[in-house]
Amino acid sequence: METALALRALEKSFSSHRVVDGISLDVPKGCFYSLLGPSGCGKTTILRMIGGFGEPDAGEIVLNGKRLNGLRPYERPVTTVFQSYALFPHLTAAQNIAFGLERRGEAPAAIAPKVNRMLELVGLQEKAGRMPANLSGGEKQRTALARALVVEPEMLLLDEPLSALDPALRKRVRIELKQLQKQLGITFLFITHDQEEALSLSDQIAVMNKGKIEQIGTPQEIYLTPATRFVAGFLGAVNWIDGIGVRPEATRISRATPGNGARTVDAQVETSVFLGDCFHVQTRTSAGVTVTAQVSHKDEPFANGDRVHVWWHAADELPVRE
Amino acid sequence: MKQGRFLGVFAAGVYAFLHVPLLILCAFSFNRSKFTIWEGFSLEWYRQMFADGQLGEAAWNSLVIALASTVLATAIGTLCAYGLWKKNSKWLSGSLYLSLVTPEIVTGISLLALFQWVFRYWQVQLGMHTVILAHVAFSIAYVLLVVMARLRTAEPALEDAALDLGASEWEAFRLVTLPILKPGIAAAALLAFTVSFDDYVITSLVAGVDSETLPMVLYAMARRGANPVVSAISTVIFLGFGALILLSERMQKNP
Amino acid sequence: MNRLRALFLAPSAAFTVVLFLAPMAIIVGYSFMTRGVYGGVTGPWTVENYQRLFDPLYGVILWRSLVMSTLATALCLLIAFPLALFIARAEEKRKNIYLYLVILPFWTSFLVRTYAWMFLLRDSGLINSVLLSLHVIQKPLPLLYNETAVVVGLVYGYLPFAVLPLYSNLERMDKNLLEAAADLGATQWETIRRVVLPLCAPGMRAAGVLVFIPCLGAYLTPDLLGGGKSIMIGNLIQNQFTTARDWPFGAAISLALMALVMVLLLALLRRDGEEAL
Repeated sequence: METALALRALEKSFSSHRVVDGISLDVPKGCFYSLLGPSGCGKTTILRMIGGFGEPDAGEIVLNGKRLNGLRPYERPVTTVFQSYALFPHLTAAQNIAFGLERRGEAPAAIAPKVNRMLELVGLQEKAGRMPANLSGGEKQRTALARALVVEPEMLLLDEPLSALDPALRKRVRIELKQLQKQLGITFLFITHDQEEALSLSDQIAVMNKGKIEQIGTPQEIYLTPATRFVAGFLGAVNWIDGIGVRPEATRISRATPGNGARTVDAQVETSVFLGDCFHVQTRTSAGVTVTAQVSHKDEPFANGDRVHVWWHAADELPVRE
Repeated sequence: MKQGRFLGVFAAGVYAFLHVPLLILCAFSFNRSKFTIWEGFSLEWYRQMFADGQLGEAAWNSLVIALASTVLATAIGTLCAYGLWKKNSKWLSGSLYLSLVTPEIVTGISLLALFQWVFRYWQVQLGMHTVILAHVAFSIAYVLLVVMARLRTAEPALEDAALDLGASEWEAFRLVTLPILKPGIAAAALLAFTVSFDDYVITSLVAGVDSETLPMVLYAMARRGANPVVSAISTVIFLGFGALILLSERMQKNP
Repeated sequence: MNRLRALFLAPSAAFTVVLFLAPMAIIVGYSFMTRGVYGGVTGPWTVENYQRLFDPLYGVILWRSLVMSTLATALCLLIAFPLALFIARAEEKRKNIYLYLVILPFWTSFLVRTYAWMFLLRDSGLINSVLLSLHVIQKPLPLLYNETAVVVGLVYGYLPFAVLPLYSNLERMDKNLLEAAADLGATQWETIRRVVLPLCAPGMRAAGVLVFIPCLGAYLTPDLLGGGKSIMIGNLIQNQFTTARDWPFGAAISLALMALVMVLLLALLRRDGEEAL
């Protein structure tokens, strides 16, 4: 697949603290690509360097064959959806969207239809004349998205654009965002610390920690075959039993001795938490390790203090190195 | 709630202390008598005030000086606030804040010393221009203070967003930050206008024969003794400033 | 960006250098020179002007300025604290009006505000007229042209400087603290003394410095309300540059005053940081 964005050995330090430490990656054209990591892992710094808000100390940023290093933000063919949306408070939604087209010197006659098409695309025709202060959170987010997309950037940078929305809305907007990206075919570089968001949206994910990339892969790859303990732990809960990682949903417990082929340890039930769709049963092994198993309603109920066998299939062990 | 009542009474007392002297002054400007005994309503002192040519000239001078220095100081101070907001310059912001707390008399004599020194080499004299220069110099810090307070509440990502969408740095300032700053700039201009129009100490030191201002005339009249015309002028200034502030409040509420 | 920023800062930098720093530098220079025969300044260089600051003749004026400024500052704090507390505890929608009423006279000409007190206090002023007509007194009380009148004028002039920082300090304070202290059995006065006042210390310091500095440099108030008798540093400086025509000495007093102001400000900034102001 053709590469849209290539980062080559990118480095950036703030007062001797290396925030971005040798990042190299390729974002394929038309890809929904996520940088996933905890806050402070350097992902936002990378996004800002691509946007032109800070130069790397070393390394290259290449977009569709063109080197972006040293270009001012307004010289770069990328646009950003900011975490706070950064809508201009003195301009209406439509004027916000028209801003980029006007800066590019497009004729007023050409601007209006483009703005209208964009408003329609994000479903904001009714709100065109509203000031940002009179828009809801979701409407602001869509205005920011429309404002960044209307100038037809070669790539869209999204800096945690869903984090300001309430959880219920976030799930809905997630689906809309994914559909929009597929529809337009524009390359998205999406920054998030929310693994569920990254897994559900992305074609590819780069998991970052402490300024370095831990693993790059599809959502399935990084969830099912995490390369490092950090990736395994960051993407979901893991039971670590003698250095072997098993996700709670792959961990079974039973009173009877499990059949052949299963790996097993003895444990005692500590608590059992009902989560609606399942139970999380927390046990303690004889070695003193806490292990959580996801148990369906249909399984036999467990009481605190029950002596049980914790077991799993070898195939479900996470193949982490270290 | 004994304490609450005590506070209320106390506050009423302080407000009386702040406002009653001015209200009395205004009231007696309408007194028929020259003395501080009420003898009936009269506009005599206002008539005398408007008939006084020297007063009129001084008021005109004050207005010209205040307008000129307000325009200049507001422009310079706003640009300065923006520049310092982007990246602080310790010597500049430090000097400007120091100028704000410098006693007026020190500012006045130092400017006088400077002008006298310059005039030794350059044949000019004290006049309107020196007053305006002095006023701009001490008003910049006031403008900086007000505009900076507004900038501190502005979101830095807004300018990033403008640059990101293709605006140059100048366009980002002109099209995004400047419109957002408007209420702050208006407030700063109002403050600059009042401090300029009101200044006596610095002005009296750097003014020439042709640039007597209203506060200078007012000062001379006040020193000479009781004069109801001073009360009349005070009332006009009081009401004038009051109207100006109300106007600016209106403007800030419905832009 | 750097070019645009430089362009933006250039005018203010030019004004600051030419019309603030250069004049100050001239004053520093003058303060080490000798008074000329016809006024003006000449050589030789000397520190005599600074030594004269300790001359009892001038020392008494400097001392008076310090005492009157301290008194005015103390009175301002004493008046401002309950008022700030009143405003901070008022209903939300009324707070702005109350604050506005504090600032409003401040927007009026300082000269007019000072004149208003002359109008009240002078021999033929309102207070004396009323008292005379009521036959409470037989001849006018000497209310104007004394130190009391000056202190009243200073308090009147700079009270808002004390109210605003105290108000913002009280406003930031957790309202639950007041209630909690009352719940624990403290009377309201004890609450104020033991909880509110200690927490208000930064506001008190800021308010104190903000009032003390302009009081110390006051010129108009002692001039108009004190007459020739209760002059302060500001009047002494003005006198050296006009009537006495001793510029070097005037410059030395100015710098001593500036030094005092800067020491106070720096002390406050070191203690409470930049947010203090």
